[in-house]
Amino acid sequence: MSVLGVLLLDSFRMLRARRLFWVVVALSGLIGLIYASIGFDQDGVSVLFGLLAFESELFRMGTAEAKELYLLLFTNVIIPYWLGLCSIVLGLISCASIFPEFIQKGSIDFALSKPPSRVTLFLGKYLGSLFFVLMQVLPFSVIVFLSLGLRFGDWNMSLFWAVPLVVLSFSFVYAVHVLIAVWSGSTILGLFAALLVWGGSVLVEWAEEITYEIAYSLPQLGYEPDWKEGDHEEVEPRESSEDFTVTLHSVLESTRLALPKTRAVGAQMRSLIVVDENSGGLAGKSLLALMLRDPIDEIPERQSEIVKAADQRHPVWKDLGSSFLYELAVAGLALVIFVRRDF
Amino acid sequence: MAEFAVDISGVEKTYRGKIQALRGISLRVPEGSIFGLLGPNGAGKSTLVKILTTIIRPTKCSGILLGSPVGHKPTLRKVGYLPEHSKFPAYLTGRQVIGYAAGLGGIRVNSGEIDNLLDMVGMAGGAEDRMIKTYSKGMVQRIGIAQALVNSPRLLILDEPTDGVDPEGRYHMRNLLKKLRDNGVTVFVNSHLLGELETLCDSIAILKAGKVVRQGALSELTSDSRGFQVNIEGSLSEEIASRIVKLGHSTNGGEITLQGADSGPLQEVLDLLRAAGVVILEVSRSHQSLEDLFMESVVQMPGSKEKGVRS
Repeated sequence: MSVLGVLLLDSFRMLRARRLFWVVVALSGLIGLIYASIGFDQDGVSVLFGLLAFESELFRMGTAEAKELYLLLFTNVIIPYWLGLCSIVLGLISCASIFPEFIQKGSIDFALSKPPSRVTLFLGKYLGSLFFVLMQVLPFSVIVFLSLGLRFGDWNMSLFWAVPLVVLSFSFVYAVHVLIAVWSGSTILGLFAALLVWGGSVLVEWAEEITYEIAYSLPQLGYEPDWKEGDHEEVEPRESSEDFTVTLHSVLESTRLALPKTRAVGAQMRSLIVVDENSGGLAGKSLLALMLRDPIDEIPERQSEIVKAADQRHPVWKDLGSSFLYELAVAGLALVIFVRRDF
Repeated sequence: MAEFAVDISGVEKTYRGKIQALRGISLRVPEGSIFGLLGPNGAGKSTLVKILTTIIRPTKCSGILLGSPVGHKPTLRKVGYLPEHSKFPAYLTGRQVIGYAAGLGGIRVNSGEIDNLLDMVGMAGGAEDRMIKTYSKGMVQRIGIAQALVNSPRLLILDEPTDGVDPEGRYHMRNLLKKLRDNGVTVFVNSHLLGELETLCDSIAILKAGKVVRQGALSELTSDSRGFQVNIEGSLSEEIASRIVKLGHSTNGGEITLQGADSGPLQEVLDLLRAAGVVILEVSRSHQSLEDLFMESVVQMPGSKEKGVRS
């Protein structure tokens, strides 16, 4: 086994020894099971393997909406909230002590006195920490893949994009923790810094999203917000707003570019998942809108296009690329500190 | 085979804050010997050991370790190391720690080889499959030595190896180290336990405030001030005792101590005792103990100023 393999095996053993890891695996399994229990027949939709049934004209066996619902539950609920939020927080807590414990006196001496370089040791520990999230998202993706295949005959490999996307999202946050932990040796300080940067970047993402809607989506739909009255009036559609919101959005967009983008993972998944050739994909689709829609209602094409454009305004490569560059910079700095430090 | 397992000169280490831990250390450790590194707290012993094992980067260092420059990572394949206050991953069993150390060293070990190592350090018998967090300090040390031996090292560096080990364990450890030495392994021990090192080491170096103050074969260093001891029946009379003291020797009841390797003064004392009708029970050579040598080497001279250094 290579040295990297030895370090990864060690990380796996470490995770296996932590109670929290098994709690999260059990919760993941439970959520996966509930997800897999959703079924469709000629009358509608059922959950818990038929225990609870709901009649529905829209979500029935064979309808495109049923499949869409199934996928949107994964991309819009499970990925952003369970895998993209809860799993990351639990992963951070679980992995928070890895580096501080590793660089403790007596522990680091053992590792550094062996032939592998410090770079290899750092990378081994860093990649090993990502196991935590990988062990959550991979089985989940398999469950979704099998469920979709067995229910709809659609063996959709693009679902597995969730694995790198969620693991990367975690690593963007984890990098900050590692930097502070290697620098200070403190678990708490590292955790606090990671949560602070993560919270800050989510706030920026959220603010950018809102200002985009105000500066672009609403004017394109022909709505003019009335800030004083808290209302809006319908006007001639135009490309963008003419007030300060465009400048504000531009500032937030630039700030967002420099920060890790973890909130966008749902939108990225919707862009990457390949659905039927005719359905136009999941971009711009909302679970709520899908569930509230009457089968005879049709969303105006222009509105649909605007929402889709908003959902796809950040190309996946740009979001991932810039977040990855951010991670490289932060983790790279942590690596430099680790390599140069006297323990 | 190189003549010296470790041959370094001018090793300096200055930590942040201008703390000088090492101030030009030069020492040689003969291959196939047991070498003891001694010194008071803050002398720089651990810093030196950490430089040899690449845990700390020296400010200045020239020399070789097993034929390669100090800091050459691949050479560490031939080195076994037990750190001071070692902390192995608490979630691993003793057996897994040994396997982990082998993996990091890039070597494969099978279960039988691990069993042999466990047996060697007195850890066979069930405890090896329990998690490290359930071990006593002495058990952790034993596993620490086993992991240091997993790569069949040519140089074994042990930092306070008997820390927390019971007397029986210490006895077995001494025998193990001697056996390793007899098989050609160079053992480099950093310890505070002078009595233990005295029975174990072939050569030593004493560090004080980041400098080597004594270095060489233990027998040579302690022979510098060899003397004699005479034991008589009963106690010396006041008259005889004062005559002996006038000759430059010391007395204590029925015990007379003579400094120096020259046997001439001894004859003078013996003649005096015989003439006085004193019954001589025993005449023996007295050697300076390692503790005496250590104290003589590191004792703070009045008026000298030493800046505190990191251990």
